[in-house]
Amino acid sequence: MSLLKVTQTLFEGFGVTCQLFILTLAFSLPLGLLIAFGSMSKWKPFKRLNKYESKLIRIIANLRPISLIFRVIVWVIRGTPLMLQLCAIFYVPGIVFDVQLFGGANGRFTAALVAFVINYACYFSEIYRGGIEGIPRGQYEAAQVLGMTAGETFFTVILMQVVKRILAPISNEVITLVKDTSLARVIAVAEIFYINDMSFLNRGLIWPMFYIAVFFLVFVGVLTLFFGWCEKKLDYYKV
Amino acid sequence: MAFLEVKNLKKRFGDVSVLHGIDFSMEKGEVVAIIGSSGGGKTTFLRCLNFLERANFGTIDIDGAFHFDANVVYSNAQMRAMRLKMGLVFQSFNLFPQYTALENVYIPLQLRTKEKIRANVPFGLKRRAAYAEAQKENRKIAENILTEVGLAEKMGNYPCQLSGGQQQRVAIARALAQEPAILCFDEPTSALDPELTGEVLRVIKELKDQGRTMLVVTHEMDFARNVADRVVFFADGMIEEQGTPSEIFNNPKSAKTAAFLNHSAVNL
Ligand SMILES: Nc1ncnc2c1ncn2[C@@H]1O[C@H](COP(=O)(O)OP(=O)(O)O)[C@@H](O)[C@H]1O
Ligand SMILES: [Mg+2]
Repeated sequence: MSLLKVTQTLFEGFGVTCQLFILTLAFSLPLGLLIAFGSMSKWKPFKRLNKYESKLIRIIANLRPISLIFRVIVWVIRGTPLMLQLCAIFYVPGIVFDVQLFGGANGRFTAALVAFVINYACYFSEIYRGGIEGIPRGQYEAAQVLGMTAGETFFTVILMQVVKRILAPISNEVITLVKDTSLARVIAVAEIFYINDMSFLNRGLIWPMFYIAVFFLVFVGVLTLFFGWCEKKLDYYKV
Repeated sequence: MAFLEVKNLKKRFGDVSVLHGIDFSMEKGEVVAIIGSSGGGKTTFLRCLNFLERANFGTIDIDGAFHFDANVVYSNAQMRAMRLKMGLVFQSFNLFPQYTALENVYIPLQLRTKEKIRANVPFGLKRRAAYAEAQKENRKIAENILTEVGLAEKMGNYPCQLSGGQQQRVAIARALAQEPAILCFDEPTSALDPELTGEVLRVIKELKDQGRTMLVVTHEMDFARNVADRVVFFADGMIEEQGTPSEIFNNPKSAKTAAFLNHSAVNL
């Protein structure tokens, strides 16, 4: 088998890998922000019970249900293997509820995408939350005494400081995602490892599996350069 | 009615009472220094005046135009309007790190001008033109104020490229740009190295000469003595004593004031 032929075949799988990567980012980056806002929600519907002495009633009074729900979701998603989540999302609707959510030609890919988006959105949400909560209170207060609205404060004062703070952890996560896409193999998405298994490994050809490393190294190399460039761009101020 | 009139202002944090009913007033153009040991409620008082904390009881009247009553619920817009009447310079500057000195001063100003334009000019090209026009004017205003505080050369610098004294002067310029009726300072030189306090105090002195109304919490007794028209001594959430600098420093009536002044003199 020639190198050219192997490269061509693997590129088919790598295309799917890249699609999974890009679509996951496109959906999970914004979804993560929503989850972050959810988990920071300060809404206390039973606040008025606070005047009672009883410990239990006070706990209920301080309950923040929206925040609680989001934090439990994040805990479950971050606390279980992504491989399990992939299987759960792909198989459970059909087996348990008898609905074919992920049938059709693209079903497997869609299921993998959904699992990746949920998983990465949860990780991103924690990064966002750390970034937002790490902004000193003085920044909000300075904005407030200058008469800014909450929206103006977020968009003109807070946002770029958060971006700077989260850039490094986000880039870590993004680089991890490149390699995590290979987990989609477990539900037979036609990404690069699946293609390799079907085309080469099952015929006893071992070396293309190691050749795959080159694809990932190049991809991660490009991303590293990109994030380095972003960091440079934001170098003009300190937070 | 006085320019600033505070009546029976009370503030609690949880079950702890921090301000137990402050009565205080200021005239236009007056410079008042607040002194007192730490934990006495000076910062909390300024924060209540700037509506960063909501007082639990009492009233605040500013310039005869705004009346705040702790028992009344105000809309966000009303609170913002009242906040704009007051300016506050923080101990820790709180400049926006991603903006230059000039941007720190004119961006907040531009946001307020835009709000006014939105209310008066219909959506479209006319509004865009009005924004651009305002931007030019606001930059000019910001440049003038920064020049006034001695930072003409540093307008393009980011906060991380400025010394503490310069940062604090930018913060003063930023507060001034909104033309507050009363400008409050919370220990504006406490975070600075001793050799940098002079430049900031000098700026405040110049503002006094221009007739600005200012309320300055300070540990700089020389400044309180030489610049303030009136000195207020805060102790345990109350105004213990107030008077002209010579009355307070040379002839304190209250034993607490005398003890505090003795103590600060020893520490100098
Ligand atoms: N956000 C807060 N929550 C609880 N206690 C506070 C808060 N802010 C201030 N205090 C308390 O109020 C008292 C007065 O504080 P402060 O106004 O900062 O005094 P000063 O500025 O005179 O040193 C202190 O005992 C302080 O611990
Ligand atoms: Mg203080």
